[in-house]
Amino acid sequence: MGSSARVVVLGGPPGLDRQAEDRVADLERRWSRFLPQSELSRLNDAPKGRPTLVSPDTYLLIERAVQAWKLTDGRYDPTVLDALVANGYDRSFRAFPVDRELGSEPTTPHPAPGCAGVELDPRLRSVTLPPGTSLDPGGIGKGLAADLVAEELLASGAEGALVDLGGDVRVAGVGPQEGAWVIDVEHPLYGDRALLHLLLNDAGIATSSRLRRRWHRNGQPRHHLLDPSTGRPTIGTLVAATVVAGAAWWAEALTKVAFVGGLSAITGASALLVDDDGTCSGTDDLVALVA
Amino acid sequence: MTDDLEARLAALAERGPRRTPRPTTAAAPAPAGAAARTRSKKKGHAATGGRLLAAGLSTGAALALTGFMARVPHPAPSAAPVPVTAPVATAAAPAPFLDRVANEAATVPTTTPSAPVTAAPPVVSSAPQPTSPPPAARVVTAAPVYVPPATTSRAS
Repeated sequence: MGSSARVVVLGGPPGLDRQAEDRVADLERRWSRFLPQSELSRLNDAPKGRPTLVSPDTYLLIERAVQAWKLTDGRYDPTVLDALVANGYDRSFRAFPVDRELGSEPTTPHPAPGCAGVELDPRLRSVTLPPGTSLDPGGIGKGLAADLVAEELLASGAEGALVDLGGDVRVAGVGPQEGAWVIDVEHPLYGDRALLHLLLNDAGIATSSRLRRRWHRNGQPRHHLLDPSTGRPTIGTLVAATVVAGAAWWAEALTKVAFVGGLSAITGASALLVDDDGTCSGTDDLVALVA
Repeated sequence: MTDDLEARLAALAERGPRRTPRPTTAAAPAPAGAAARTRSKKKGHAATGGRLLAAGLSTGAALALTGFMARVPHPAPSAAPVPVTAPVATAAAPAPFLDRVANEAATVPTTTPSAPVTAAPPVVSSAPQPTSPPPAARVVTAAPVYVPPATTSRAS
């Protein structure tokens, strides 16, 4: 998933750490768009308009992505893959040139087509993509993977579990600090200090920043947070968004919503937004906790 | 929990050639739906011939009748069947296989309490669904300053 992983398991039988490691690797093999044989790549490469059989995990991922698209009125949109590629994000970020300069732009980004034509058949567990539609669930994949692994650790006997996949964190069960978990949120402008120092119990937390995964096309700055309505990187003063929700996949989706629709577009979750001048805004509970 | 997709695909792919009646079909596989229709027709002809013989008709008459029926052209496959991830044909899969797939789909684990996995309609379309987001986190409060974090949420 192009990032580091951290798993903390409390209680339970031996071997749960290895179980978590294997599970994360398994989900990576299924969901990475940079692995040609992943289920996601096979789905995107399959003829459009025809159903593709997928595994339960991948079906769940796409179901969540479509659900998030609906719940956010399209502000989170997993069909931005073609736009991402048109903007230059066509390879793992580790494969980008050192200077992050990609040269001329081969194609013009277009608005994302949306999920209206994506069909899910739970009986056959198949996914049908309409012509012109390809999927990149993006950070939802990391968030959902964290959710799955944490829940499975509890089901295997752990008393508590923390799964951190590249900053998308899910905590579940009993934590080490009075039953809860202490989680820091990195300051997007001053990485050496924490923006938030939280005590969480059974929650998902995700942070997205346009200061990460940046590159240039003909000298023009680009980043990975696209506005689905234009297919181009979002613009504005917002540099980072942190969301705390009941699940990491949903928190991750809402961080993308923050960049497109602002704080008013986020409902049912706690959020903290940071502008390029360091100004913080968000829901009252988190704003009150800013360090 | 873990996926059995590869095993299902392999089992189905293996099952297909064994049921294909003619080697020429195996060398150049026809669409799965077409194979299914062809098989059912041929079984029907054989059964018809057997009944005629049992009814006491002369062998010659029976052979003539079954020969005539065998020349009746089978209808061409109308809908192109489907599967794309692998050379498996869900349209040609026998009922037990489909039942198993349906049962497995029903056991997809949920990870968030409010996620409407089982409430999803058979086909998701542009029509709005009565879905709701997962609940908010139960506890969001400040941690004691002296307690080091278990991890740090960093931007991705």
